[in-house]
Amino acid sequence: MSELKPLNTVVPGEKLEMSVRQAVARAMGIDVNEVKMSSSLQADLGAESLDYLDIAFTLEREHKVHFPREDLLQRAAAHFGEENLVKEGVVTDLGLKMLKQAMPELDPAQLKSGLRASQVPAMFTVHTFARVLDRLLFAKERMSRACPKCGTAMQDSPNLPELVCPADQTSVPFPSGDDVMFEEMIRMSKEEKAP
Amino acid sequence: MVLDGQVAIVTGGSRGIGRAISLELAAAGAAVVVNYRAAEDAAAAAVAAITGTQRRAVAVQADVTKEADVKRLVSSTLSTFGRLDILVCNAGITKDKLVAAMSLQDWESVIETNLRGPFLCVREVVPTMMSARSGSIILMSSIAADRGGRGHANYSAAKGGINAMVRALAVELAPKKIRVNGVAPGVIVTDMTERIREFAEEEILRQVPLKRYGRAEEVARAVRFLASDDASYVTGEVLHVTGGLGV
Repeated sequence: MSELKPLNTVVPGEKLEMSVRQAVARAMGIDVNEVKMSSSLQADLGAESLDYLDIAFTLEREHKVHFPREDLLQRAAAHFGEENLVKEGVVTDLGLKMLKQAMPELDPAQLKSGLRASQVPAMFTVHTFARVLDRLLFAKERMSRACPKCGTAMQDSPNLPELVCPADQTSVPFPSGDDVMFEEMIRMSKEEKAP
Repeated sequence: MVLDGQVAIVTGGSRGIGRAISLELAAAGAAVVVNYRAAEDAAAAAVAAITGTQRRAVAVQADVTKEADVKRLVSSTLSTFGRLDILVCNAGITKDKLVAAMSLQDWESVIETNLRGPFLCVREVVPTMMSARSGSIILMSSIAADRGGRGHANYSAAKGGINAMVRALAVELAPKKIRVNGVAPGVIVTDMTERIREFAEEEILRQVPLKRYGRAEEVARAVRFLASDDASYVTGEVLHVTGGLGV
């Protein structure tokens, strides 16, 4: 049984979880059976920042999605004003609230007062990656497949994370992970009436 | 052939040293993407020279200083050939001026093409190479990175930056089996060095122990070595092809 109840309807939960566990196992050079959904990437598996990218790249190739590259808090700080989200390296109460809403993948129990921005990546588990992947697949599923130029139904590109129009070769990239995360944060902030 | 089945991008691959590298990698078995910014005819000629030998090559226009162009360069390589094994960052320019007469634009355009360009290209190819657990990146440096010389503070600074970048990237990417090396040519007979050769021939040749200029093909062979598995235990090095200049 999968632990995940996916939003996307294309890749079922168990398959999605296995795909993430395999990507993590490959990045860390370990057997997939050593990778649990609850494993902390840093604390349990010894992942370094390059391994996070490695996992993301593998999943991007397999599922044709764009994982986020930017630091969500940094980007949000540019929007909301840095002092409002991170003060002297520590995530503010508003920053914590934003993180909780924009990244339900993170364990809410760990999102508590005094958390340093640099500690956020250490909170990532295998499950976090699966949830993010699911959200990206969901965003992809929801995008319009009509060619913006001629209206023809576009198809997945065989090599790249984009749709290609068979009629005029117009290509439209799949939603970027940075945008998916950030838009959610903005949407939440409007509901919360943040600055 | 040492590069059979592999795919290479050579930036600035249509003329001078870049053309020689494109031809050398193709002769060793690789399919080559000959990148050019403006020299469309030269790029077509380089591609024709390769395809005439029953090897695969395509020309792709892209300005390496532009993020969108570099993305397109790499994505079109992947859609054409389905893989990417070798990146040679060769595109480079000079804007030689004595520093007191050097405009900010002279400075910035050289840094943009010669230093920012390689950064953008490397960043774009790393996901593919990392997933493949294999890849060879070669950044073209220059003897000017190590030896002082009049009138090219901008070029020297960019190439010194390349040498530092080679070492940093080699360490960063080694865990994922991507090798990063540099090649530092001395004075090679190309259009780009015509002026310097014209003005200071005697002075230059006096300092080159081999007493002659280098040929683009001699630089290209060094690149081919580093690109191939012959250099499987070499990373973070800058190989000088200088006829002994600066030794």
